[in-house]
Amino acid sequence: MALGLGVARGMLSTLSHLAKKPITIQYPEEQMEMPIWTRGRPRLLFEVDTGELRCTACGACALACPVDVIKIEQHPNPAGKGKVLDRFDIDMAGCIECALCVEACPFRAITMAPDFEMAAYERSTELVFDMYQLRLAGTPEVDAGMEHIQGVKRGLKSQGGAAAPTPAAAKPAGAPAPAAARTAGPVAGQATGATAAATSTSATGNQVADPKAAPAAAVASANVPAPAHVSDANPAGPPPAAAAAAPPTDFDPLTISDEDLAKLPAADRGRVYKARLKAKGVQPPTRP
Amino acid sequence: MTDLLARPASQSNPDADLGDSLTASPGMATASEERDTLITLNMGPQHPSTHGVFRLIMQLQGETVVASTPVMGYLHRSSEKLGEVRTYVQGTVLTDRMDYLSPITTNWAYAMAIERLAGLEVPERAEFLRVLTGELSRISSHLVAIGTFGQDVGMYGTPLLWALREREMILDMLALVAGVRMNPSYVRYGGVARDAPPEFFRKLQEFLDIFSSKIDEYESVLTTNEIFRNRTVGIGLLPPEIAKAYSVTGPILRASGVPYDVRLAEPYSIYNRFDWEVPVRYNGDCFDRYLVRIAEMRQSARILQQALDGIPEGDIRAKLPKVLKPPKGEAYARIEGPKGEIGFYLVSDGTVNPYRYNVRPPSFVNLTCLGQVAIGHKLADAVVILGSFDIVMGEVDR
Repeated sequence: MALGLGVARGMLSTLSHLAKKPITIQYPEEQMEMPIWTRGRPRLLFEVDTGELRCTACGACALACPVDVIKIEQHPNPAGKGKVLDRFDIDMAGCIECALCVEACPFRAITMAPDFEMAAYERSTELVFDMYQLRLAGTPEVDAGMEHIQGVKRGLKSQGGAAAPTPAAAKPAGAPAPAAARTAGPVAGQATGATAAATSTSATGNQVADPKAAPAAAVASANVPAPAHVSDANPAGPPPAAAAAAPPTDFDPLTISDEDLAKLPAADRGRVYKARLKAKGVQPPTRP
Repeated sequence: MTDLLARPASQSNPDADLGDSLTASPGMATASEERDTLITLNMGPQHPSTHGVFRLIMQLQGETVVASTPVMGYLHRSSEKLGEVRTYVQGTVLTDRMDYLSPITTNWAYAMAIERLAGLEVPERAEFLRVLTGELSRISSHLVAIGTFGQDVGMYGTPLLWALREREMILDMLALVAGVRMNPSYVRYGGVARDAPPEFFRKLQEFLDIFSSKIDEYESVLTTNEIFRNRTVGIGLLPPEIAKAYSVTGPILRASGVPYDVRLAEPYSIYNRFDWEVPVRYNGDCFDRYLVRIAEMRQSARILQQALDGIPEGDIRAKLPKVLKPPKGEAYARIEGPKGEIGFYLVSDGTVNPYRYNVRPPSFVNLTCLGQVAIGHKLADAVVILGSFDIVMGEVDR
């Protein structure tokens, strides 16, 4: 081979890629499509119509957990049989998101939602999520994702509810189903379908259980009464601070206050920053 | 055993008298003997070219390596001990974190050991899903190996980013079946954890349609590149006798001319139903190790296409008790991972935990012969040799 020919050939191959479209995703302005059964943070499911957690405090998930991050406290139910759940904490600083708790649960009460943006300043306080912050509405889509994560169910008793669709049925083809998956997660519920998120029951549960906004809102909204639909869904009475933390779904990127901006999901914040730059006449950086 | 220090004339340093150099003390060297002075160089444990926290102590004469000792253990997490205090299903998540570039193959070896221990039968569809995800993992591991190998020889960016581009497609597919991109814990005893959705098969077919041309792309920028060839051809020769003496397995052994592949030598799962070949090269240098990995990716794509066409419907997991308590006994299972033979040795005492949870990690065993292979080469070539060994420190140290 003549000297330099190999180098030239290699460079030619490299240069040919300059004309191709980049495959990079501009996070956080754009977000990946994640299937609804993505193993993110564990969430506790509640029935959509009654608002009651499905968890019976049996402790199977805590036994199955290989890293012992699930802490459960309960007391016997004085008014009947069973147990009453007092405390259900998951320490996300230690959780490895293996989904063994989901597989172990005999009551379809715990699942994993595609939540992954959980950066915090304090490990001991902000990363330990309690049973109110972990609530997630057991909609058919969420149930389908939970069933996929559970895989082959061993010793699973039927709960008598409406049979949840199989993952395949809930996710017919390509684009529409990931959109549903996004609305099920608290992060991007507003990113993909603002109107859908504001009206659907699944979004109600998510807004209630959005834990990222909870610490910020705990100070800001102590006097703000919880919206009506929230208290409907939660007769057990979760902290109103978490309820009021629902980020605004309808906003103008140029007039939004900094307080509201902090509550927005990352994807929307990126849009606001971009719009502000544009208003100032600064072009956001683009790729060639 | 053959003389480990013997090198072909072109590889050894003609000036170095290796026998004297190894015993010479640096403090006693006079000015006239300065070229005989040995320098001890610690490469790592925090070094970008060691692929993790790995330390290589080298004795250098000028720029030539005259002795080298690999030091391991900086990433030790006592996985084997942890496996003994956890139940059989909880032990799976430990296997994810060993070879984290190809966790499914380690899951698989562990699951096979439990199946032999407890006498479990694996359903047909589960075997196909294991082959599909396992071969995808092999491709993804080889992609990282080739991409980072490009970095090691000085081709920054292009090969690695191209390889990661296809690895991204594989990780997306794994996210569809397992729910996560890494640490999937997908292969379980008695089958697989969950069924694959239809999109997985569609995406897999799309991937297989383009993957062959993508391998051609890597080859166009690596195999025919003369800088790459100058850096790798004839570097890091590993004769087959030494490879066997050190129990080296995987692509490194096959690049030395030994056609040993566990999938062929001791067929497991359903590999004997597919039409595929074991790629072998005979020079035993870094370039051949690279070529074997390229050829293995093509063979994996062949197996994937056949498995995708032939996958049946049915159960994905055997009937299992709620808590698995295998009878007393011991079992050893081995499979061919992307880096070599992964072995799992389990001893059961009839309880929910294994009494002994022992791993034979291919990266660890392959790494032991690095000290011999690097001798006689320049310092910069030692980095290339280490890159061609394709180690994962999570597996070496466990």
